[in-house]
Amino acid sequence: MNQENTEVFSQFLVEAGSALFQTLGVTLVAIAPPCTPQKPVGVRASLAFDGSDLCGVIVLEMSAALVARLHPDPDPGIAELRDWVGELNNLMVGGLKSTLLTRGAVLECATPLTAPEAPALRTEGLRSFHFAAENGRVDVFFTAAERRSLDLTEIGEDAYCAVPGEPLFF
Amino acid sequence: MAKSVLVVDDSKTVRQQVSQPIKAAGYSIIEACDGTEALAQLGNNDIAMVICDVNMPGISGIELLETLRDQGMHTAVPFVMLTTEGQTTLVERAKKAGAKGWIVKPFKADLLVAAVKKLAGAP
Repeated sequence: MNQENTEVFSQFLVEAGSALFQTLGVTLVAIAPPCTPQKPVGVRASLAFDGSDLCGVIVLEMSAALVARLHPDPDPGIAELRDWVGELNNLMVGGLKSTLLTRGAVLECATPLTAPEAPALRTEGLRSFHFAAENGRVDVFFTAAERRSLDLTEIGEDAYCAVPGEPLFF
Repeated sequence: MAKSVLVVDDSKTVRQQVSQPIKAAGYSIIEACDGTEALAQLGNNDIAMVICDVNMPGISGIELLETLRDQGMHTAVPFVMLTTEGQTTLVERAKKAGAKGWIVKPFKADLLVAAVKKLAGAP
């Protein structure tokens, strides 16, 4: 993906993540990336996307305590935490998808993948954003490539018709 | 006996999140983790309404609806799609398949319950 599109994609992803966590009552504070590869922060979910416009992957990694705090269960187990971080990644990418639609790009996503054990993520080739949140961490990694020529800087025909949370009835 | 709402989503956490306010409103909840299980639950229970994810392993929520429409099954049961998707073409496809509503996640509990009351009637 060219530099301009990469910057726009990054911006949209960060905005989607910030907006999502804001709705959950969590403020993300951007922090510098770690100098050296770290042990896994906590719980991780990967969401791949591929289609006629874009392909790539977006990884969300969060401190387990933060995931647990946001979980509807008062005492979730590790399986519940992995499921929930998968859904959080899904929601974050959902916000990104909506914004990309306004730029004429469709993100076709798979279902999120969560690993039983989370070895250190190989980050070569991935862009990343790192945030402090409630004594924990939220890290987002991604890679994206265009399948066709796109200009994400241009607002195209708005293909998005639904406002999050508000039911559309037919 | 309270009316039953079928919640279909591959995420157990989402099913839990969706179920909580609907149960609190007096409805009974039946869960399914995918389209195949949803078909089984529809066949085995008296379901007043379905809240269904779109992107799931196996058949998608819209494919589930299209299957039911094509086979003339459970056509009187209102479906509301609950999904991160908001693309017009998908919404139109669901509408054509017989969906009665579409909610983009994250949902708002009070609006979700209002949608259930609207489409399923009082508990």
